Amino acid sequence: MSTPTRTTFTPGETETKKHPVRGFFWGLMLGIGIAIVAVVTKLVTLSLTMVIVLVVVGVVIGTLWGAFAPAKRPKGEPPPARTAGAAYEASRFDDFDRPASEEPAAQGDSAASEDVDDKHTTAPDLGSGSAGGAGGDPDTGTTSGSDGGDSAGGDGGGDD
Amino acid sequence: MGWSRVRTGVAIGGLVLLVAGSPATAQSDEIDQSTLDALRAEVPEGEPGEDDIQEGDDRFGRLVAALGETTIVDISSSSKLEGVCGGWAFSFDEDGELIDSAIALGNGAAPFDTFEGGQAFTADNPFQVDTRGLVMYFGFMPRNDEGPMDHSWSITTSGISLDEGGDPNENGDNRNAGIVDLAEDLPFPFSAKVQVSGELTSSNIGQCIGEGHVEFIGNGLTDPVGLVGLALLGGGLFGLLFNARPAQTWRGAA
Repeated sequence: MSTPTRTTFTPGETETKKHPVRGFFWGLMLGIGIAIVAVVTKLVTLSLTMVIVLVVVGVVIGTLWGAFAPAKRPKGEPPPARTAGAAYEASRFDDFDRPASEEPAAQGDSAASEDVDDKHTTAPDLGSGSAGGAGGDPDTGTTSGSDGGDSAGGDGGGDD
Repeated sequence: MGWSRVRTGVAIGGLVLLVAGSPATAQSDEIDQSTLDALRAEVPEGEPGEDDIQEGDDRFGRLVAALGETTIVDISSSSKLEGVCGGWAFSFDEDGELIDSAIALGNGAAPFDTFEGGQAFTADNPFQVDTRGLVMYFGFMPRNDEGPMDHSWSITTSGISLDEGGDPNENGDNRNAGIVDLAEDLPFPFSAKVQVSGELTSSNIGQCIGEGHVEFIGNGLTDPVGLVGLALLGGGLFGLLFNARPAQTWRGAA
């Protein structure tokens, strides 16, 4: 049995996600709030110019904050170094939820199984394991396609 | 063209007085206590009728007489009133207590604060109104002659129209008196300091133009507007701190 040796990233390495668009909208909200509070407390005389200035100040603060504020540290421990073998472990059941109608006719057809790995990345249904053995051979490292379904991190999706 | 619109138009001189001030010359901040007492004595007790024009005019005459000995000096240009318009205004809080009063003589002098002395409607001494109270006013344009005919008027703040109107005023009415019930007219109480401009243009006696500061007195941050402002400010801060801050993630983390 061969040992996977191909590492796809450096352990402990981080990347920073910036959120200027989120900052813009939160800053807009902040600016409107500042303007209302400033007017209501009579810190400023109510005028269109003053309101616009305060809202713009909030927007600028928010956008700059979203782009340049000190970044939050990553959550949890750094993931272990990912190798071809590790990638395989994460994806070996990827094709288990395949509808019965799409089950490959030839169970032992390795070429068909690789194709399935590329298209199905949802959670496995452990109740039907008939195709599990066809997902690939860890020794041959044929699971690179399924790695693309991994989430990028814990900061939430739909990012700007 | 209803009678009420005619009165509204004619009263704009007084209303401009309400929200504006007066030109180059202004009256001294120094006023002796006896004069101030005499002015305050003219504040009516209880609410006058909507159409007490004659009573308002008589009161105006007495206020002018009480002010007669006051020294006239230049003070500030932060409020102005130009034209042959003038009048008086008294502001009461929701309990009926007088909180501010002012008079404009219509002779080029600045509006005068008959409650505390000094120039009225300035940035430092805005005319105070309680958003749950009421304001009595009497206005003229001019006091002893035919009123503005075929006129139009507008009240603006920061170039935005708050109200506008106009009327032929074929009868030549030149004065009006009434009460503005702010508790009834405003949808909710609020606090703010506002700079307001007013203008009336007529075909026969030219313009009445004024600018001045009005301070609306409410409950500050505990009014609905203040609470909305606090909520937006707090929400914006929360979002910036917990949703928009850049974040580091482990590269390739699952």
